[in-house]
Amino acid sequence: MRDNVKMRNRKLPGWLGLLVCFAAIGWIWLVWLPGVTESDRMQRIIQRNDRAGIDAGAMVYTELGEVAAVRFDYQQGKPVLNKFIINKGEIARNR
Amino acid sequence: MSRDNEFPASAGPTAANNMPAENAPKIVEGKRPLVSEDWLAIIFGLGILAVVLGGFVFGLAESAALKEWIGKPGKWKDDPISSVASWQKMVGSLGIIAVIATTAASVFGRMRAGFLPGLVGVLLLATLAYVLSAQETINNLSLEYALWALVLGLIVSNTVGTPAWLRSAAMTEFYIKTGLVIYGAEILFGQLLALGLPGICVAWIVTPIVLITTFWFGQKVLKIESASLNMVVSADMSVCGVSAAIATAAACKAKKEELSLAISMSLGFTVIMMVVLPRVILWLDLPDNVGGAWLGGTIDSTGAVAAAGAQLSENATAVAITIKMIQNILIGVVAFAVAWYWVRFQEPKSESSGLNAGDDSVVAGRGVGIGEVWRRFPRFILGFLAASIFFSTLARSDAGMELSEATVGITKTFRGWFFCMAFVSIGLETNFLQFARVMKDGKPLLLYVCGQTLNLVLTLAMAWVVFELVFPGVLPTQP
Repeated sequence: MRDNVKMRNRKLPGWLGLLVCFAAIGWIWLVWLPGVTESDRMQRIIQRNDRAGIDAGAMVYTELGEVAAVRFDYQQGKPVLNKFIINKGEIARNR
Repeated sequence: MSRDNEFPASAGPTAANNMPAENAPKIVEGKRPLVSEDWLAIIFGLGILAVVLGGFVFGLAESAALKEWIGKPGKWKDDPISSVASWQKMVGSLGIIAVIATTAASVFGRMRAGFLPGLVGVLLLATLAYVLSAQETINNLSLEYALWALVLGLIVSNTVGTPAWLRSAAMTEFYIKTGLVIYGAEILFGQLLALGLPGICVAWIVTPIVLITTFWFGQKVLKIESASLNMVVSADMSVCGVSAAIATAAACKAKKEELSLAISMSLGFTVIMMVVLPRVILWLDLPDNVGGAWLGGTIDSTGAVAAAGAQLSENATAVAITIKMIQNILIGVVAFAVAWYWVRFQEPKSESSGLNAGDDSVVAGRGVGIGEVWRRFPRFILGFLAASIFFSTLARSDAGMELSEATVGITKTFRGWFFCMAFVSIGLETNFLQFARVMKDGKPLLLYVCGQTLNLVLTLAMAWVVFELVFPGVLPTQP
């Protein structure tokens, strides 16, 4: 019983914990992440997705952005891309 | 095991009388509501779809004008205020949702002095979750708003504790069910044939095999204590991540911490697979269609599938997105099948070994009869399917497709807000001890890893067989 009380006393007060958590979120999102966003590596990813019209944060395909407009037509039994707006040069770079 | 945090069963007045106390609708405080939670979710979900569709059909609304008032926080890099700069979008969306939530609370008898401040609190946390997810790096890593909504709720509940006034607005089940009914309009069965037979083979043959095998593995080999946790993780991993987890969790009445754990694992693995899988495909020098199908069939999150495909080629991206889209359609079938399986077999099984032991309606090994299945069946699934069937039929003509796309362009925003509020609510009602209990022995993680390994092997094998051996040359070409 006494140990429990001691344990409780050693814990951070709730409001202080809340403050620490929100301060951490503030630092990560307002200081660290903007720096990461500026890095060359991240900029390449962001620009590639932007040019392709991709919202990488989409949960389902209706949220994908412009790239969700991808459609196939069938010509002689083969699916043919008939409405695709991805910047070809950007996406095909790795091939 | 206590089921305090589970999604309550669909309970009409008769059903509620026959249910064991632990399954009775927990939203009812004092007296039974006029309408059950499931039916109210159907009324509001279909109501939103009908109003928006009606607005377009009768020329009362224009898509662009509506989008001025309905929206969510936009992307930002270093200034989060810019994310919510379009204030009228926030006011419009949150105002409508606040009216719906308040009406629901009145029906459920939850309207207390603290409800409105609580609702404002939930809406603010949901907005903050959206803002966090809209930061450019976070967005491009496919770390969806559901994760941040959950994290914010957990921070509050595990530090200061969720005050009663805030908890009163945490109507998790109502938000999820209403969101799912609206989501039904986004599931168009006509898109099933977008890639012909090869697409169906990859998305509709492999996926159910992986789902059923993983569930069986969890039950029989890993012997995971909670069947609903096993099912949510299996569906989340095999179908399409968070959206499948939400639908399945509601269908099998999983506990809230089980859903939280499933989506946390899913989003963690999504980031890893989005980075690693395209490199493996390039290293193996797989053809576009095989590589794209492999991405679409295995990466959980839809946005991550597209981002991974974009690292390969245009064709690979198109195939990957289309396979994922076909998999998305599977959600309706999976939710219905899981709901039916649960009320027919799983619930009777757990009841026959627990409170309802000796119940005549439960026939050992054979489940319950059709009448009992109907009584227990989660009704909101019917609203979800009705929306899906109606909009699938509507989208069969070009004009209908335009109407459908315009409607969904608006309603998907409401669906997103409802899901976001649901995850805030789950976080507010969960503590880390519950998480630790669910993660016991690391079995859910092992289940996810084993299931995903099977998924990777089977999807690659099927993609190779259908695109290279059975239908060679069926490669999407550019005009």
